[in-house]
Parts: sequence; structure tokens; C-alpha cells
Amino acid sequence: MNRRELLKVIAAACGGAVSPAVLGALQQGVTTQSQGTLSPKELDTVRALAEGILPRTDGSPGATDAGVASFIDTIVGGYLPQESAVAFRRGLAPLLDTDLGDVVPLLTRLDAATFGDGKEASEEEKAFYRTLKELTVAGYFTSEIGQTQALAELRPYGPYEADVEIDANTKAWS
Amino acid sequence: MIVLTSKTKTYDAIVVGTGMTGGWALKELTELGLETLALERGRDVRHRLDYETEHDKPWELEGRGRVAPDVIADYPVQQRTYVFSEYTRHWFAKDTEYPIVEEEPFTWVQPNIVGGRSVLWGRQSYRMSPMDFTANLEDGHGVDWPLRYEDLEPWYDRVEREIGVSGSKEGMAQLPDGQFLKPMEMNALEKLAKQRIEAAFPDRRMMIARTATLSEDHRGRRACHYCGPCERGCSTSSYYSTQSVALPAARKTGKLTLVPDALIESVLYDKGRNRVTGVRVIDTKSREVTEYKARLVFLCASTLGTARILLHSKSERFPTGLANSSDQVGRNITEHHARVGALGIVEGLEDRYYRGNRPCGTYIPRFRNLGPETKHPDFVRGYGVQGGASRMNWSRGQTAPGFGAGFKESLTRPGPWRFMLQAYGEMLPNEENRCVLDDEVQDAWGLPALRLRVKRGPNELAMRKDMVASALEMLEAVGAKGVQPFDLAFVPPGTPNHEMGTARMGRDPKTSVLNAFCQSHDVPNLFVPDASCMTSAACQNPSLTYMALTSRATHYAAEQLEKGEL
Repeated sequence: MNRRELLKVIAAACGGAVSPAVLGALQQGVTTQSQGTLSPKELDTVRALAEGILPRTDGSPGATDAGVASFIDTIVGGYLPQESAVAFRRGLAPLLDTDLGDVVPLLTRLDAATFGDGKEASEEEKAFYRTLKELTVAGYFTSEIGQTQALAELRPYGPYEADVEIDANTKAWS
Repeated sequence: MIVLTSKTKTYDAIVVGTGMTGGWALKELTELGLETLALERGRDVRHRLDYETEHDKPWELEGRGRVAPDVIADYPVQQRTYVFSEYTRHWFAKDTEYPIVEEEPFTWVQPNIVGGRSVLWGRQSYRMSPMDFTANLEDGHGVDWPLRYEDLEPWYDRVEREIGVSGSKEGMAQLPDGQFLKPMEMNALEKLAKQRIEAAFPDRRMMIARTATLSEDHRGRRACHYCGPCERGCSTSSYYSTQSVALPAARKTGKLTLVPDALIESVLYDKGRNRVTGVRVIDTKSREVTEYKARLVFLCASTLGTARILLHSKSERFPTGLANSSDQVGRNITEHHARVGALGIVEGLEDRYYRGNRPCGTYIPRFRNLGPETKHPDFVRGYGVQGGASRMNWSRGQTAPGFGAGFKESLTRPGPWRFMLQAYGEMLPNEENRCVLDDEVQDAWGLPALRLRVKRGPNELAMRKDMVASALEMLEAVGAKGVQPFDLAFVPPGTPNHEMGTARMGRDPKTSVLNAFCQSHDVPNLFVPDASCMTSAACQNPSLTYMALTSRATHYAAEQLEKGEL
């Protein structure tokens, strides 16, 4: 767990309840500066990779349905720390010629190198993929589709039930 | 400074600030029949009408809660608090308008609204104990409190009954029970953790937090609906805030005048009578300057806000600041040092979950230095351990291996149980931890900024080691895996939002600013019942104590006024 993750968990504990959607957004003390929007080609690649990470299934819509690429464009362009945004585009650059028809081999390689014991990725690629994954997951699960279809919406609000029995098909609260 | 308007009306009382203690003071004073003028630096926030993000969905905000960079540039200090986000940033002062000078890193969380911190507080409500009021006397740090637990007990009762505090009675000397609504319930892992921790450590008790959030309907207010983000404001009045309880009660009396956008330039002082006579105010919108008069002045501007006002209220009699003949104003800044503990994953209980966002966690009351048998060799005083268990949510996927249909599917399910413990420790009072007026930096209205110099000492550092060790051993007892200790020493003092002590109470006017009724030793009709008055910090979340002291101070002041003593 990195420092940012840890701060998020602590934040959740401080005020008691912080809804999961808010946790995705906790910031560090960093200065940011607009990096402009992604090019059409960058956007296409990001869209395809995001859909590969969270694809449409019988159970729920996918990253494309949830507008994740547009969210990532917004965050990289205007919200990320400057060095993270620059690193994101630097790591993305060599991937722009990927066959977007089948991103599984690329995701397999990047995921193993970034989160497993794979070795076949540059530091730039790993920095890109780390951010891509973080934003894809956040963008999807904080979208309307993610909150209301992939997850279970806490509605209506009501009494707290401290101990509820569930089974393997129970969805998490949004 | 050109005073444009000098009001002719004389109020019975002026209350400066409308937060945790100002809100409570204006309620108490108006209910006591005093014509009260409440002045608030920040803008007005109306109950319900102005909770503009209350139940907003994340997708309704462009950054999904992240604050845009051009905005965040105005809030470099405020953004350090966990409460600050796009959902709440409209509550905060811009650091560019109200700057501070950090000689040592310090986070001054500055809400800038009617209601102040009462709108965004963490709501945990604990009494200080008899041993907390004698701690300074016994180990020699700071000065002796001029009152004892027994003096404050009826006022704790009063505040708890009125605001509604949910919690369990535990019968522990170090954390006295109070007037509680029914406790909120622990979830499955918390119940298990309680059993295991108490079995492994007979000197420790794990309980549900005591919180000023309603577990049942109370005095016309609705029980909590467990939506989660309390700090955005609560239309059902389910937690205590100035808006939900104090203002409605005060307005009912017909005795309240509330003026927002009113920044205090100084407190006015009449040397001949040795009385404060009112305050001079800058309208933050028009920049017009107005003087208001009153028989009593209550400073409730938060410990740093109040210190700034006192230090800036200079006169021939008080050349270093009003009521500062002791030279203690601005000194002894203390807080609760935190962001230290451990967390881990607990396997099992896959078929257990919960419904709703409970607005509190769990609490393990202090267990060090309660007596000879719990004396720790390396430090004095103690700490409480906050915490709680929850099932990890989708965000675990942000840093986990995997992709594709199965990965997505797994993130739509409740994740593993995580249990976390975070200690809050008492910081000793120390005269060298202080704030002064800066010679150069000013706020947007030309008043000097505070220069802050607050550092943790050896007792805090030794305590932090024990905090980590005890959190670790308790997580092990619970059976957690992959336990991760943490001691985030880089998080500056002030960040937990519990700073206090700049105008301490004491028995001797030479070494303290206030007496046992939060009344200035120097100027009898000046009262400071906010966090400034605290002689020591104890380790409990402090707001309940501030409010009890405020009740006591307001009742005393009204009595003295009636008798013609002030």
C-alpha cells in the first residue's frame, strides 16, 4: 500500500463514514497545471485499454459505456500533478501503434510488469499503466453506470444494519 | 483605521465566532435572556438551503470530488485536511485570503462559514476524566487546571442531553459515562475484534465511538439516515451543528442578532473602567468598519483565531495584546498527535456485510498511565485508539493485479475485511509552542497573519513508538494478515483539527490568562470559552469539553451580570 492509499484509508477512519465514491478522490498536496487534452489517437488507445481492463459483460456495462476515456482525459488534462500527467503521456506514446482490435497481449504484459513479477515493460510504460488502471477503475465505479448498475446503490437511505448475511452474488454498495 | 459606523445600541453580549463554541454560547446566552450579537467572519450558511452538495452523486462533479488545480492553488493548507474536497471546499477560507506563516509546518483548518467547524466536525464526543484535570498538577507539565471534573460534570450532562450523543455506558474511570442515546452497532468483524482484543489484553476495552449523531429521534430532530458524508451538511439535523440546534433555539428567544461577513479587527477596551466595551469589525464584502458595543464579550473564534484577535487588540494598558499581562496569550498550543497506528486484512466472515454508512468508528479508551500498574517507562499521559472494520470497496482494484471480465466482476462484490487502528495522543503543553503576529504577512483585509511555531516534543515521539507497537499487537490478536504499521510523521501538527491552548485557564494570573470560568484574569467582562482556554489537551476528542466549558462560562457570566459585578 502506498502513501496515498494509506491516507485514503485514514481519511475514511477519521470522519467515521466516508462513502467509497469520495475516497477515490482524495488528493495529495501537489500543484497541478493544465496539460491540455489528449489527442484523438491517444484517446482511442486509452479507450481500448480501459475497455480491456473493465469490459462490457452480461452482468454490467463496460468502461466505454461509462465514458471512462473522457474522464481520464479530464483528469490527466486538468487534475493530475504535472509530473504524473507528463509521465502518463510519455508512457503512452510508444503504445500508440498497438493493434486496438486485441489489447489482451499488451494488457497481459503491462499488468504483469506493473503489479506482478513480469519484467517486460519500461519504467515509463509502468508509470503510464499504473495511472491508467487507477483512473479506469475510479472513472468506472464513480460513473452513473458504475454506481447504479455495476454496484448496488444505497437507496433508499435508512436505518443502519450492522450485520447482514450475504451470498456470493451480493453486490457491494456504491 | 477610519470607523464609518459606531452603533449606538449596547448589547448584553457579543459572541465572536459561530462554530463549536460560538454557536453554543449564542444559544446559551439568548436562552438566559441576554440580547446577543453573534459576529461571524465567514459567510452565512442557512440550514438545509445551503447544503448544496449534500446528496450529490460523484458523477455530477467534473473531477468526481477532486478539486480543480486552479481552485486548489487558493487552498494549499486547507487541502491537507481529509474533509477538504470538491464537495466541501466551499466551507473553507482561501489560504490566499487568510494566510499563515509556518515557521514549522502547521495545518490551520479554517472553515469560513456560519457554523464553522460544527458543520464539518468528526462528531466524536467524549468527556475528559478526573485524572485529566489533575494531570498537569501531578507530572508538572503546564499549570494546574483551576477546576476539576466534578465542576464540569453537570455541564457535560446538560450538553449531552441537548445535542444528543449516542454511545454505550462502560463504567471506565478514564472515560466517564454520560447521558447517551442508544449506541450505534458494531459490524461483524468489529464484534469479533472486540472479543479478541479484550481477551488478549484485559486492560483494554473496545467500544463503539460516542458520537453527536442521532441514533434515534431526539427533541424534534430525525435519527441518522446513514448516507455517509456528514461534512456536506445534514438536512435532517441528525448531527449537532450550530445550524441544526443552536441557531433554531436562539432564534426562538427573539434575542439573537447574527451578522456574518464580520471580521474582528480588535476588541475595544476602556482603561478607566478596565472593561471591554465591544468590538471593531471589518465587513469582508464592503470593507466598511463598524464598532459594536456590549456589556460582555465572548471570544469563540477558535484557538488561533482568538489568539490573533487578542494579540492584535493592543492598548496602553495591554501593549502585547488584550488580557495578556501573563504573556501566555498565543502560547501552549497543543493538540492530539495522530496519523499513527496499523491496519491489516482479516480473512473470513465472507458472508457478513452491513447496510448504510455508519457515521462513526470504534474506540479503545486510553490504557497507559492510568495508575502505577499501567505506568509506561518512556512517556507520561496517554492515547486513545480509534478504528473500525469495513469491507474493502472497488478502490482496491486501483492498485491490484488483473484485468478483464473476472477482474471487473470481483470489484462489484464486497472485498476482504480490513481492520484499522489509529491512535490519538495527548500532546504536552509547552510555552514554546506558540503563535505570534507576523511583521509582514497580512490577510486580505490588512490584518497581520499568524506566525506558527509548533513542534512535537520527546514525550510525543516516545508515545508514538508505543502507539505503533500497541496497534500492531492488537491487530495480531485480531488475527489480521499483512499488517502494516504506520507513523505519518510528515503530516503537520494541526491536521487532526484539535488545536487548543492559546489562552489557558489557571489559578495564577501571572501564569495563565483565564480563570475557571473562562473569564479573563485581567478584564472581568471578557470571556474565552473556546479551545483557547484548555490547560491541557487530554487525549479525547475535545469539542464536547469545549461546549461544557462554554455552558458553564455563559451561566456564570449571566449571573455576574445580573448581580452587577461586570
